[in-house]
Amino acid sequence: MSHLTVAVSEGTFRRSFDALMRNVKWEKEDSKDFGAFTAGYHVKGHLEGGSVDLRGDNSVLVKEVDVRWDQFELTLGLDIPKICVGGGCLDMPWPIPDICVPEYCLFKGDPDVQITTDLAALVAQELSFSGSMFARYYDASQQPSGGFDPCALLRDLLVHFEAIEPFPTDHNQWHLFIDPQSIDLDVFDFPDIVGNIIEDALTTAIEALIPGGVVRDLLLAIIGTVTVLIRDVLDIPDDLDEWLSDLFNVSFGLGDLLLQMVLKFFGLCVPLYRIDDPFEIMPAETTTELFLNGAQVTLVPVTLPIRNLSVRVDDVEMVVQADVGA
Amino acid sequence: MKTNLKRVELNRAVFAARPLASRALTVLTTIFHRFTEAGDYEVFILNDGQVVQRHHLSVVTENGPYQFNLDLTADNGGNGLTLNVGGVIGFYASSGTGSYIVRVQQLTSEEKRTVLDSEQGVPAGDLFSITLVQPGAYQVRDSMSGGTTLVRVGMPTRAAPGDVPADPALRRALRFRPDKPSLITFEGGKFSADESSIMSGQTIVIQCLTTAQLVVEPAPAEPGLPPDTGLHPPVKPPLERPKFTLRKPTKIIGREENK
Repeated sequence: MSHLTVAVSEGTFRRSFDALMRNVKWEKEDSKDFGAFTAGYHVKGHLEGGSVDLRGDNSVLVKEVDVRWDQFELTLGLDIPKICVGGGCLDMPWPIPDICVPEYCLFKGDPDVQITTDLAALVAQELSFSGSMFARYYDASQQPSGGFDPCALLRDLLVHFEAIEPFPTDHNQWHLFIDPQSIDLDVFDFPDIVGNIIEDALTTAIEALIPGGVVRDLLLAIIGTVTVLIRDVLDIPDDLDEWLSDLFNVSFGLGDLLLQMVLKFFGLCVPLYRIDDPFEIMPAETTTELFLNGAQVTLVPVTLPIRNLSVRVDDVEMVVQADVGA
Repeated sequence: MKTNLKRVELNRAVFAARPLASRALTVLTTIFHRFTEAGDYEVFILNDGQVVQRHHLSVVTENGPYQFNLDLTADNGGNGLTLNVGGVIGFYASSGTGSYIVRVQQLTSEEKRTVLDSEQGVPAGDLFSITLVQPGAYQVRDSMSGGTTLVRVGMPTRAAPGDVPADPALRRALRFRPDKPSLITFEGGKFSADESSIMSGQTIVIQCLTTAQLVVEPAPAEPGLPPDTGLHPPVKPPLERPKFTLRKPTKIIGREENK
C-alpha cells in the first residue's frame, strides 16, 4: 500500500496538456540537389486544437490535433537544359567518314530559374497519438550519459521563452511523461491549385528568358511548351501536386521529422508534470513564538523524500502513487 | 512569390539575318575539310586580317580520330591537333559576330602547300554547311559558275497543349528535332536538287565535288507575288475568352423609408 496517492482529474489533465502543447513549435529548412533541379523548403509550424481522452486501459489518446503551418516555403530551382539548333550527323558514302555538324546553342552559359512560394495557407494536416504515462527520476547531480543531452537545446529554448521552468540544479525531481506509442500524421497532400501555382510561377520565370518573335516560336517548337520543359526537367509524368506530395513525404521526409519531434518532445524532453524530491509539504517559516523571550527563529521547510513513484490513468483521472522515503 | 534569374545571355548571332558565305565563315556556317594525305600541317585562323589561332596538325595513318570540329571563336591556345588520314575537320564559329578565314598549309620536306584557303573557295572534296533559323526561302549560289538552288525554311508546328502526351518518352520522340541535317551535292556548276526544304534550326550540307564559292541569301521574290515567308505561318496563342461578371448592388438602408 503506497504512502501517498494524488489524483488529477481528466479536465485538469487536459488543461495541463494544452498548456504544454502550445509550446510545440518547430522551424526547419533544408534543400536537396536532384541534378536537373534543386528543391528546398523552409517551414515553421505549431500544434493546436485536438482532444485529450484518458482511457480505462491506462492509455492517453490525443486526437485530431491540427498541424498549423506558419510558413511553408518551397524553393524550386530549374537548370534549363541546353537548347540548340543544328547538330546531328550525316551518313556519308565510303571513303568519307560520317560527318557530324556542329550545333549552335541559343543561350550563352547555363541559364537557370528559381522560384520561392509560400504554401502555408494550402497545407493542412492532423496529428493523433496514443500512449501511456510513465515516471522518470531526474537526478540533478548526474550528467547525461556520454556527456550529450539530446534535449538540452529544446529545453533551453523553452526556458528562454519562459514556456517552462528550468530544471533544478540543487534538488532532484520525478518527471511524468506521456510516452507516445502510436502516432498518426496525415501525409502531405497538396490540392490541385498548388500544382497550378508552381507551374505558373515557373512558366512566367522561364518565359521571361525568351525573347519574342521567331526566337520564341523556334524555341517552343524545340522544347515543346514551357510546361513540357518543366515536366521534363522535373521528370514527372502528370500531376505536379502529386509530385510535390512525394517530394515532401519521401524525398524530404518531413512527415517523419514531425513524428520524431512529437516523440522526442512528449516522450523524452518535456515532462507533463514535475514533482520535487524531496517534496516540500510545509515552507520555511520565521517565527517569534518559539521562545519565551520572543527571539526570532527560522524554521526549515518540512519535506518528504519521495520513492517508488508510479503513475497510471483510468477513464476519469490520472493517479500518482508513491512512498515516503527514509 | 520570389523569382531569381541568373543573368542570361542570348546567342543573338544565331538569330541575326545576314548573308552567309563560304569565303567569310560566321555563326551558322561550317567548312569541312578532308585530309587525304598523312603528314604535318599548319592551321591558321584569321579574323579581320589577323591570325587569331594557329595550330599544328598531325595527320596520322592510324589511331587518330576521324572527325572533330574546331571552334574558330575559342581560345584554344595553339594546341597540337591529331587526325586520322581520310578524316575531316569542321571549322565553325559558335558565337559572336566575327567572320573568319581558314588557311591550311601542308608542310613537306620541300615546300609549304596550301590545301585550304576558305577565302578562295571550298576545294573539291570538301563540304560546306549552313544552319538556317529564320523561316523563308533562300538562294544558295555558286559565285564562280552562277549555279543556284533554292532552300525553303519552314517553322515547325507546335502541338496544342491538350495534344501533348503525358509519357515523357513519347513526348521526346514526337518533339521537333533540329539535329537532322540534309545533304545535297554540287558539281560542275549544278546542284543535285533545284529545291530543298528544311525546318528552322536544321542544317543543309553541300558536298562540293568541284571547287565552289558559295553564298546564301534570301531568295528574290517571284514577280507578282509577295516574298515567300516559309511553309508554315507561326502558331498564334489562343485568345483569352472574355468573362461575364455580375455583382449585386449594395443595399442602402433607410432610402426606402424616406419615400
